[in-house]
Amino acid sequence: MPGPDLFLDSSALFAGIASPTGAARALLLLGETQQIQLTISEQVVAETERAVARKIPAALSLVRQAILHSGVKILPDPPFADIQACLSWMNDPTDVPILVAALNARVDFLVTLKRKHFLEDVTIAQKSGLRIGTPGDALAWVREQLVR
Amino acid sequence: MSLSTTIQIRSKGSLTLPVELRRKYQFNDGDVLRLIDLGDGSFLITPQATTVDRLGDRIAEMMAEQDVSLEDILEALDQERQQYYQERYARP
Repeated sequence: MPGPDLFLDSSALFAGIASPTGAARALLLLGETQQIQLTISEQVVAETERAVARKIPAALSLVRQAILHSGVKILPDPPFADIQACLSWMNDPTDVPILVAALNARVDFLVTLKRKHFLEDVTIAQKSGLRIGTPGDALAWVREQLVR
Repeated sequence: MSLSTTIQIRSKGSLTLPVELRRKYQFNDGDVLRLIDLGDGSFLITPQATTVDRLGDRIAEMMAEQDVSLEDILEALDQERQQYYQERYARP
């Protein structure tokens, strides 16, 4: 299995599925071709399926297939005790389960499009010890790893 | 042969894979490879077919047909995050 392991927030996962030319799609293709490992949590699946079911219900089955074909590893959501221990790290507690899921998965990179919540506060990356960035940031980092 | 090699773009963007690599991986005339754009002028070439591209492009078409933008879905994802947290983690 490939070296770099990236956790996709639901925003990055869906951008990869629906945006044909972006860095997020490149990450999904690298996952599908087993150049990198992609990891998500049950929450990411649930959020994605629920949002698609509300906005474009006819595409739900295709989205599920795309998730499966991208070769993602789906992990259980973290226990509440783990989340509680990290609640003070972020302004919005609702994002903490995603941060903790990535932390517990020991991934190399947490990929998200939620700039305000994850990226503008640099202390989140410092406290968690995770690299956190946009799909573009993550692809640049993966590129460095692959050409080493 | 080393892991990296130099190739040159020729007329109409043609690239020639070195014969050693073609032999090593049993590539023949007419074989189809997938090229993934990694940005910054870097590419990954793989013999593996991808399904994500085909499914994703179809989903993007359906979104366009129904006038649903990526931003619409990102907003819906934010709402679902709030809801999921309330259901699973919030204590009364």
